[in-house]
Amino acid sequence: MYVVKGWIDMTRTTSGDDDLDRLLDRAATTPPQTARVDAALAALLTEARDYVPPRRRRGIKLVAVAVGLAIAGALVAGTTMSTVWLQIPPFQELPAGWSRTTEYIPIEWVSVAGEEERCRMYLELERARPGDIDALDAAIVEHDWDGFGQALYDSLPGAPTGQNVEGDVTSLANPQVQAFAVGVIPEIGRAGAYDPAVGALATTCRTDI
Amino acid sequence: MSVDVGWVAALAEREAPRLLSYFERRVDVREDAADLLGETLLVLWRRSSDIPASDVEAGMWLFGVARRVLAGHRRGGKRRLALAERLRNELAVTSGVTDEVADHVRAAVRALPERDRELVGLVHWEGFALAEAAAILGIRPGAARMRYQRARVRLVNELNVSREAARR
Repeated sequence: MYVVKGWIDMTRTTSGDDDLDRLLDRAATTPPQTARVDAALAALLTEARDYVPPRRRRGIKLVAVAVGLAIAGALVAGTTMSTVWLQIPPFQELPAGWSRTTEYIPIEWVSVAGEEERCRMYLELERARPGDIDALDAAIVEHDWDGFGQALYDSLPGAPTGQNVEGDVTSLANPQVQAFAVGVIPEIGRAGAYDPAVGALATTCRTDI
Repeated sequence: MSVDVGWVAALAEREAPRLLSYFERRVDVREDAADLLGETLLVLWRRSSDIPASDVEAGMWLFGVARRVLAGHRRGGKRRLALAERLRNELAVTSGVTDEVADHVRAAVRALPERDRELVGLVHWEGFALAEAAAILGIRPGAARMRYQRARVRLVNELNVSREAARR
């Protein structure tokens, strides 16, 4: 087992912070660059500048994915289906009485073609009470979403590619995100006439670099 | 919009050593940093018309590209670039002094959630202010502060676990 001695003294809070800073500074060190590395770096800079791609790659694609709540109906009885298209930028205005989170759930994956796909899913609440959006924002930030999108993509049958994949992946996310919202605001799950409800999950996707 | 090739070249030259260090700190195999740097530089030139005009924002934009290149690498999207082969070979034969403590701290940072990890790295290793790191990651400063504090607590706990393990 790998064992290291001499870490942070937590009995002294300030010193503990200083110790952490010192350790992080120490971890910043990289091997010194030799003259040969410098020369290779200079060559790379020149070659990258002069590089001509054999064919043009697909450019940036902005895709607005409408996410209905058909799947969510199984979780939240009585929720009406809503569809929101995001116009990028700026986002489409919300219907009266709706609120959207400012934080987003990152849904990211690498396709079988090796392309990185990135989507951002925002929750939109109807009848949000003071503090509901802040609570969801804080929970979204707090939650670890690493691997969430990749797991969804990997669960699609076959080797999915093409323009509909974003919609397929984000649709798969719907029930999990709904459940997440209920976990943060239990009243959403009651689906009462005066309770807050997830009106839509608004998603924007883009293919980049 | 016409691109000032000289300005882009100067940006690349200025930031390349920092970017190389950025990748070296974050990959398991040091020479992979050469391919990642090459990939980043290709994106820089391919998207040169998108680069913000100010030097500071251009640097931040470039690290945002580097972050996405690294994310693809971590998810298995690895590419070997012919134009990076020379640098790759040099990195492979240039070994640094082994520092177990530094290695262990880096491992603890790598164990953090992706955005927390990047916040810590951008602030402590690349020297960005927290607000700049937040902009690179596309998150609000308030959220960045929350993530940063959470990451520090996790690191303290993780490194203390190591100390406790050493005592047993």
